Amino acid sequence: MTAAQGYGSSEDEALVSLCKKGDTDAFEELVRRHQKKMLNTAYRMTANYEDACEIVQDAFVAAYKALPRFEERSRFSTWLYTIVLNQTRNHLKKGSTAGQRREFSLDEPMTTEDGFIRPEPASSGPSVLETLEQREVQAQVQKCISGLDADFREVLVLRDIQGFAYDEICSLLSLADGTVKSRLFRARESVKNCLKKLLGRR
Amino acid sequence: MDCGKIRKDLHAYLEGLTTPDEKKAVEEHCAQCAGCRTALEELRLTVSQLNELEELEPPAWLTQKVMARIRDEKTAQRGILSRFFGGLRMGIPVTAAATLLIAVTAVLIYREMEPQVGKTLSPLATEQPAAPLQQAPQPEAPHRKEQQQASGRTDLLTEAREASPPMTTAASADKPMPAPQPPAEEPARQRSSETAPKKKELLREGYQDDRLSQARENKDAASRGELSAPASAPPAPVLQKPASALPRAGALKDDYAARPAPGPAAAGARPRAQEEKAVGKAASPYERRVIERHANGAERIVITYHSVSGRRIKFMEEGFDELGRRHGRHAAYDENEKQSAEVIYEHGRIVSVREYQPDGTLKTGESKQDWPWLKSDVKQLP
Repeated sequence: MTAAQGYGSSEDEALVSLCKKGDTDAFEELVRRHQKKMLNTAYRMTANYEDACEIVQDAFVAAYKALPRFEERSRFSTWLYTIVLNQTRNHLKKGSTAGQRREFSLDEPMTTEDGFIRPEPASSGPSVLETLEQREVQAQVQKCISGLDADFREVLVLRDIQGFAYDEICSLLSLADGTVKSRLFRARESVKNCLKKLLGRR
Repeated sequence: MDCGKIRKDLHAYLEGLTTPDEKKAVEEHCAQCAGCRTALEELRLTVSQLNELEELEPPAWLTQKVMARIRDEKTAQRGILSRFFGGLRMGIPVTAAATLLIAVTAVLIYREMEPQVGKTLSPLATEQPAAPLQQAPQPEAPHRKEQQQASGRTDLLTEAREASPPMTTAASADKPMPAPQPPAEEPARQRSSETAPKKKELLREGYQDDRLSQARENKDAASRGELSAPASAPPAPVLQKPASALPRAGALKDDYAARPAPGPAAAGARPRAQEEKAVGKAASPYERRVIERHANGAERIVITYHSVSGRRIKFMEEGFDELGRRHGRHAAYDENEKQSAEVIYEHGRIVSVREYQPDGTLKTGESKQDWPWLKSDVKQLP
């Protein structure tokens, strides 16, 4: 069993069949069991916690609606992952086209009447400094992941962060084994190079 | 064996997926080739960094939100079904229900809006609370009022004055921005009633601080005398009430109480309104305030909001410079006490705004938060 499976899938099966009979509490239990993995997957894909929460919500609602059509040939969690990944893809696509609707970007310099204020911090509190180094690394890793193309990011997230086995990734993404591996290796190489640049490794 | 082939095999080697022959080849090659050895180490480090990425906890509300949506979905479906089966006979009740819903919504919206305008205007119209403030030698009156408005604890000049948060807290927090608005309008009490409609307009136009404060400044400049100054100045409940009360307690010069310019200080009142509103969403908001006034007249205010479980959710440490402009730091925390946002002001300007995600990384891209109060502060810069 890989890390990605977590809970016993037989319990999931029981809950799924309860859900199909209209038991919403059973579905609530499924949400509880799987939300963390789903959220982390979406978060690593989008690098945005709020977006990830939204994606996970949408995915669970979509899953609930599609549940009658779920044929239990695959595990519920695997099926859920495909939904989350689809939602994520849609979200990423939307984000790239609808970038204009931003209200207030914290990254962009704010323009004011008397010119320009850089949003770079003048100082940061001690609470930030404490864990800065570790967080810095994590942030840089995330930055490098975000720099990958979505296809490559998916494989990397599933394998190196979610801990899926290769064959599971193949069925999840409907890709051949060779494709998964070559994407993963290329993704890792570019994360490696990116980190080297950002963290100033040799 | 060339490095290119080995580099490709390094991934499989790291994961133990190589055949014994490949494994041997990689190991032999790396023993001789420093470049591939480094590449292997770097790859190992990268993969371990990926593996060790902190897992984020889902927010507590996630399950509830999903389930709420699903239950909505269910009832909506039922609604559609019953309409199909109910045929025409359902038509009238459904229409009636829809009409009722619209009516109720309209009333709710109206009530939601009304306190903002109505509440702010009532002091204007009555002008009644002006008297105790103007002659104001008793700091008790403002203090009590402050308790009602802010419903928190007030520590003043290091000596703590405390009031347990009453039940009215939750109730008042439900109302949109009730607390700080009456004080925001206090300067207006000085004015003749003819100016009230003008104020009303300004208020309706979304509290455009720059205009409001300009108008206020003009008026105040005209109406401010030595004695009336503290009363005309105090828009922010926290800061200004004690400020107007304090000098009379004898410790400080009147001068400083009159000092904060009405404009920026008024701006100070509104962000607080926003925050209290936000806190109102929590089960039972609870806040702690510390106000300090230093010998040089500079003020520092520290406000910490706690959620019902006692965890800190918002922290403000702000001072006002000699012109009454905001100077300090705001920080917000999530339910795990992790910092989620930080805003730093210097002399009335925002010099930095940062939002953090639960793993402590800085948020990039667009913010979901509108930050209207920040925007207005930016607009309001001199």
